[in-house]
Amino acid sequence: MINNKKVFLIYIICFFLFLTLYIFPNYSNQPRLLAFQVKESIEKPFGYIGSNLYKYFGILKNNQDLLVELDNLKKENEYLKNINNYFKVITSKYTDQYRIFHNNSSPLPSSIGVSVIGDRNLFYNKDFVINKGLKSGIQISNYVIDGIDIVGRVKSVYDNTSLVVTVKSIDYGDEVLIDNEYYIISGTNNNYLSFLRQKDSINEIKLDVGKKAIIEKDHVNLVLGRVSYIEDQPVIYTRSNFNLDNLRVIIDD
Amino acid sequence: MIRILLIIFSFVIYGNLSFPIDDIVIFSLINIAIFSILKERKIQINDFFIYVLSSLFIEILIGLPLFISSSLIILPIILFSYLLNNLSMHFIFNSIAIFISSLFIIFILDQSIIYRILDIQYLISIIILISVYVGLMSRGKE
Repeated sequence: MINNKKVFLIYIICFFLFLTLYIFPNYSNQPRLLAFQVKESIEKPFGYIGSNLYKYFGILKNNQDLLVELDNLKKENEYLKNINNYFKVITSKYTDQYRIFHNNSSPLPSSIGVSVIGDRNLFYNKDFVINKGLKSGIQISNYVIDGIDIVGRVKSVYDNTSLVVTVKSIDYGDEVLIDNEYYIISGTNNNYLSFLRQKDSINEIKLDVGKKAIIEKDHVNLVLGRVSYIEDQPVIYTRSNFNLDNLRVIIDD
Repeated sequence: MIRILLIIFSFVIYGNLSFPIDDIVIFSLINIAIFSILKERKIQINDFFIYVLSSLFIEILIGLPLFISSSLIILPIILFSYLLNNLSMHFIFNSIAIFISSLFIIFILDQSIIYRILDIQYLISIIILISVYVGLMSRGKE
C-alpha cells in the first residue's frame, strides 16, 4: 500500500508526533496556538482592507442617508417658511379686531391675497399679472409682498387684474431706508438693485455689507434685500426666487 | 500547488464568514485530503504531504488531536483506496466515492449537518440542481 519510502518515513514521523502530543497533551496546545497566531497574522492585511472597505461603504451609505435627510429637511424648512410667511401676512387681516380691542388702528397695513395669472416664470420679463384690480381696492404703486419681503409694486391696474413689476425688473424704482438714511434705488433685471443716489445728499454711498434695506409702510418694515458690493459698487441683493403662491397686496385704507 | 494554496486559503478564511461557510471550508479540506489519498493506488510524496497539511489544518481548526488523521485515520482510507483503485472503475465512480467518503467524515464530525441537509428545502434544492445537471449532461448538446 505505502510503497514509497519517503511517504512511509513521513508517516512514521507523523505517527510519533501524534503519540508524543497524545501522551503529553500540554505540548499539543503550543502548535495550535502558533497556528492560530500565524492565521491571525495572515488575516491582518485582509482584515485591514476589509474593514476599510466596510468603513468606506458605510460612509457612502451614511452620506446618502444624510443627503436624503438634508433634502427632507430643506423641504420641511421651505414649507415652514411658507407657513411662517403666511402667518405673518394673515395677521394683517385682523385690523377690525385690533380696532375693537385697542380702539385705534392696527399698526399692520391692510392687505389682500392675490394669485398670479399667466406667466409666472419671470423668464422673459420681470412682470406678472395678478387676479385682483380696482374693484378689490388695488391702486398703482401698491406693494406686493411675500411675508414681509417685497416682491414688487403694482404698475398698472384694471378692474379685475393688475400688472406687477417685480423688484428685479429694470422698471422698478423705490426709496429705501438703510441705517436711517434714504436711498433711491433701481432694478437691473438681475437679482440685485443698484443705488442711484442718496436722498437729499450728494455724498458717496458707503454702506456696510449685509445691512438690511427696508421700506417703511404703516409702521411695518418691509424688507427689500441686503446690501452687498459688485465691483466696488453698492447693490441690494434680493431673494433669488420668489414664492408666488402666497402673495398679498398692501392696500391703502 | 493549487491544492496547497486552496488549503491555506481555506485555513485563513475559516471563522471569518458565517457558520455554513465554515462547514463548507471544512468539507473542502476533507475533500482535498481524501482526494489526495484515493486518487491513485500508489501514494505520491506530494499527495501525502497535502494530505498531512490538510488534515493538520482540520485538526487545528476543529480541535481534534493533532496528527491523528495522518497516523490513524489514514489507515482505513488507504485500505479503501486499495479496494477502490483495484476495481478499475470509471473515474466518475472514484469521484463519487471520494465525495461520499468526505460527506461521511463531515457527518461524523458534526451530526447537525445531516439534519440541515435533510431539511426539505435543501433536499429539494439539491434534487433540482442534480436534475438540471443530469439533464444538461445528457441533453445539453441537442
